[in-house]
Amino acid sequence: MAEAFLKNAWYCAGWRDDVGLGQKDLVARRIAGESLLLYRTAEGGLVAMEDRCPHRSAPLSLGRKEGDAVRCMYHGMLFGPDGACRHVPGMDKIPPGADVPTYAVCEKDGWIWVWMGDPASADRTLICDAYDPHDPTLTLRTNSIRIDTNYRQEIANLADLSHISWVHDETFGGTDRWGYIRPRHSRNPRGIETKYVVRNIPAPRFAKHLFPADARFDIQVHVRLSVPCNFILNFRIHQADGETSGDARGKVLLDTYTSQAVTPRDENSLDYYFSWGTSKETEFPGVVDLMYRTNYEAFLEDKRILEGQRQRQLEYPGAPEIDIVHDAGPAQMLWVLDKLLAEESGAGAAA
Amino acid sequence: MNDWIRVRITERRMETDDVAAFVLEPALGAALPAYEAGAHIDVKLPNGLIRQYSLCGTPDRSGRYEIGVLCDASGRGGSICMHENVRLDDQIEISPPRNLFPLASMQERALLFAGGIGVTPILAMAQQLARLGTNFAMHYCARSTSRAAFRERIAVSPFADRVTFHFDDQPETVMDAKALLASPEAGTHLYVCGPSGFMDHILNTARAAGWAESNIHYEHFSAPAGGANGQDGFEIEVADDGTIIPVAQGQTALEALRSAGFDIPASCEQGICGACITTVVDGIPDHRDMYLSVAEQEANDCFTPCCSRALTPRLTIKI
Repeated sequence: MAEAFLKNAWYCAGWRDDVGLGQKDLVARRIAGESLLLYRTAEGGLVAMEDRCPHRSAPLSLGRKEGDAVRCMYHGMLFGPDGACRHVPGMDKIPPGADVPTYAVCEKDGWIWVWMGDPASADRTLICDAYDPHDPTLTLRTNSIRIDTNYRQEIANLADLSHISWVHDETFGGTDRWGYIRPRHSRNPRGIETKYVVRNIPAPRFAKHLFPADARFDIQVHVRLSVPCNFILNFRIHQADGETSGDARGKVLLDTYTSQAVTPRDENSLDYYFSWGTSKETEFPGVVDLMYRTNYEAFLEDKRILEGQRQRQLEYPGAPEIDIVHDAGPAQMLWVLDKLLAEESGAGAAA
Repeated sequence: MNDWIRVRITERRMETDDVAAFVLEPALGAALPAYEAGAHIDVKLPNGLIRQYSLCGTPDRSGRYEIGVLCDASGRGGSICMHENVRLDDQIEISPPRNLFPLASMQERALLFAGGIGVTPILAMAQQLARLGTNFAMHYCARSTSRAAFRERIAVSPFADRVTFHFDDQPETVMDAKALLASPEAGTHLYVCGPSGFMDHILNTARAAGWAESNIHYEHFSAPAGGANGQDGFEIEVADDGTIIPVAQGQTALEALRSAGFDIPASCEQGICGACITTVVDGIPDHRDMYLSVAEQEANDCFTPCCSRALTPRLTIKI
């Protein structure tokens, strides 16, 4: 059996503002079963290291920043941004092995990314392309949430948007049409890409009051999913064009963009960093705030169902689960993940 | 691969001159898996062939399975072998039931059409619907009274009054499919099984009358003439790569691809979820899935290697 988490992958460790320059900005993160400390040096550079003092395992995130170094506030050992121990109070020499492992870390598209494998093999071209909240052509607002589930369930949730009709009936939904989409997914080495149109649907519940009751819309969906679980979506709302196939051609009413990075903390919980907003071109006053609140509400809907699902799965270990027509996306995305996991564990092709 | 189940023939009788009914019970005591109307099993024949037969008994009698086999002298040897070489008390191996022709879970009314030996899954459906108390009507077309298998069973069943027989040699019983299918309703589902000409007639009539595709259910019990069918072998060529992979009798295309080192995603492996959908660039698939719509199947530009096969000797696919 392969490991639960990929090593050779970039994991989102939060929004770039999550790690500041302040004295107290020692940020603890749990990523893929490991505990990390993140901080910025005086020059603003990012440091990611194991959040564990090699002496007696105290969290370094309970320590103190000193220039570009961090001091463990249990017995005062001082570590540089390269993880090397610089000083042990009361000793002239540094004991062998008193180093903290570090991780390759960088910023891209407003997110902080950490490579969980050997830092020497960190390949920046493997970071997913996302919509940057600082992109001058977009207005995006960011947020995060924790969900107590295994990230494979989150992958399955994001690779099959038919659940919008049911889980998000009170927010994004308000029509059963999402339950009838049957998109084709195209695979790439690290994920899947999916494009489709949901046609002739009423306004989503959260915006229903803004439109005439008989207004109908086409939603052009373009999703890029990549390992471990990054979901980059352009969700474009068109006036319904009455067509039954092809791209939506009606007038674009709202062009929305969302970047969502799901980072497994361990096998039972994950951190979810997400943004949503519109192009500047289609933005109108108040709409991004409404989307911000709705998005958070909707993700609480996901949290409720995913945590309930996880609870049942733990209560019924190994219970068979049947497939339905909406499982092509989840199965394909999990296949990509499992193939990469199997390659890492040296087992060759995915079993 | 299948977990084969060893069963004993506990009853064998001639339903008509050319249809034999077999009752199968477990050889080793363990109960047979339950099934729903429309399910079929694979049967390993003494001559090595594997054939599919619909279960025609009442679905709740899990202690035993019943199949009806038409002896087809012009066939490829499966039915002849069943007729000549499988006797009372013989033991054979079968697969657990699979259902690619299930009843819809919710329906106000069902219209069942059986042609010839296509009666086997339809009979199971009639029995299940009668037990559920669902409103249904069944139309059973056969060449003559003496050629209509299970006619006596139907005559003494509690649903006998819902079944109309249509015999080729009795012109007054001729079926008017157009009239029967004239008024599609959202709550009415149509189920058809029989020879391909019969199926085409019913399905085309229904579509012309405006039946929604989602209310039409059918199963071919034989593939269109001229094509490979059943579990016959065929070849897969991997485009761009040129590798040619034989798919053996009784083996799925997915299994053959995997053993040749080509892994593709799959989940349900029953043609339900669509995870294994693969592009077809040449050749004609024999679609056996429930995922693709009729229009998508007819485009023949993709197939589900977990259950679908080929009507041409070779399929060229893109992985």
